[in-house]
Amino acid sequence: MAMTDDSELLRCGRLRDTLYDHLAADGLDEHELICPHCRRAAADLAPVHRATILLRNEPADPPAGFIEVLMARIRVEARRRHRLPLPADPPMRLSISEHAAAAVLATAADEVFGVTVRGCRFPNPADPTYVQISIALSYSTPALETAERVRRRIRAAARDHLGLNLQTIDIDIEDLRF
Amino acid sequence: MTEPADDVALVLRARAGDTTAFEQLVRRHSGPVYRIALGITAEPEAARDAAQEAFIIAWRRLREVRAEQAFAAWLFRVATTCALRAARPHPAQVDIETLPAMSSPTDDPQQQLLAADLLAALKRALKRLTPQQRACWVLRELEGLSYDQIAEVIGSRPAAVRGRIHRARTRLAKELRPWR
Repeated sequence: MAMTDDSELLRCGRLRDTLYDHLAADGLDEHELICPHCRRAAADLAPVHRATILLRNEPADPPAGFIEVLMARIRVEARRRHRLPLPADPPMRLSISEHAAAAVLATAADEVFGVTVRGCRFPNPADPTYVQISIALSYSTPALETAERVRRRIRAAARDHLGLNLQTIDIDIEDLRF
Repeated sequence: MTEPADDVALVLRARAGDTTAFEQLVRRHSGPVYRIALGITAEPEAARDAAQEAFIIAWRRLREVRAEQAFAAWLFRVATTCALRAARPHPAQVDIETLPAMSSPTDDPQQQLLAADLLAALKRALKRLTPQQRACWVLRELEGLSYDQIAEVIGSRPAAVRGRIHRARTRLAKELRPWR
C-alpha cells in the first residue's frame, strides 16, 4: 500500500488512528515520543484535538421552547391517533379519532354568539361521554347563560353527529375578548 | 451510550399513547440529539428543525424499537438521518458573529482569543467535510460512540466509519495547520 502523509498507516507502521487516541488520552508511548513519523503526525493532529475539546465543552443545548413546541406537536398527533369508541350494534365496531370528534363539538360551540373555542378534548380515553372545552367570551356576553348555550349546542351536536349521549361537559372560560 | 434502566418502560408507555412518558424521553435525550444535529448541519435553525423532526418520527415509529435495542442508539440513527437530510453539502462560510459564546478554561484574554480563533477555524473546517464524514466525526468526537456503534447508527460498516473519521481528521489537520 502506498503511504502518503494522509495514509491511515504511518511509515513506521503505526496507525494514525491509534496515535490520535493516545494523543487524546494524553499518553503517547515511548515509540511515539521519539519516532519522527509519529512526532510529525502528532504535531499535525494536536490542534485538531485541542479544537475538538473546545467544541466538546461548548454549550450546545436545544433553543428555548424546544421541548414545549415539540410536545405541542406530539399531543396533536396523539389526539389524531387516539380513537374513541362510538355506539354500534355488535359485532360491528365504530370509532372516531379524538381529534375528529373534538372538531365536531368545537365547531358546534363556535357557532354560539360571543364564543371562540380555544380547545376541546376527551380527557378519559375510555369515556367518550366526558368532554372538556375551553373558550374565550366576548366581554358583553353573559357568562352563565352563554355557557349553558354552549352545553346545549355541544350535547345536540354529539347526539346528532356522533350518536353520543354526553354525560359531563366541563367548560373553562379562559379569556375575555374586548 | 449506556441504556438507562427505565427507557424501556417509558418507550412501552409512549407506544400506548402516553405523551407524558414520551416527554420524559424527550427531556432525557434532547441534548445529545440537538448536539448531533448541530454538529452535522452546523446551523442552529437547521439543527433545531432536524432534532424536532427526529422526535416526531420517533413518536410515529416507536413500534420499530426492538425490546433488546437501546432506545438512544435507535433515536441517534433517526436524528443522524434527519440531520444528514438537512445538511447542505457545500454550505456557505460560518458567520463568525453568530457563533455561540465559547467557554474557555483559561482567564487569560490572550489565550481566550487564541482558543476562540481555533474553535472558529474548526467550525469552518467542519463545514468543508462531507455530511457523512461530519456525521461520523460528530458521533465519535462529541458523543463518544465507538466505531461499531457509529456503524449501527449510520447503517454502514465499522471499517467505512474508521475511514471516514480518518479522512475527516486529516482534512481538519490541514485546515488547522496554522495553529500547530
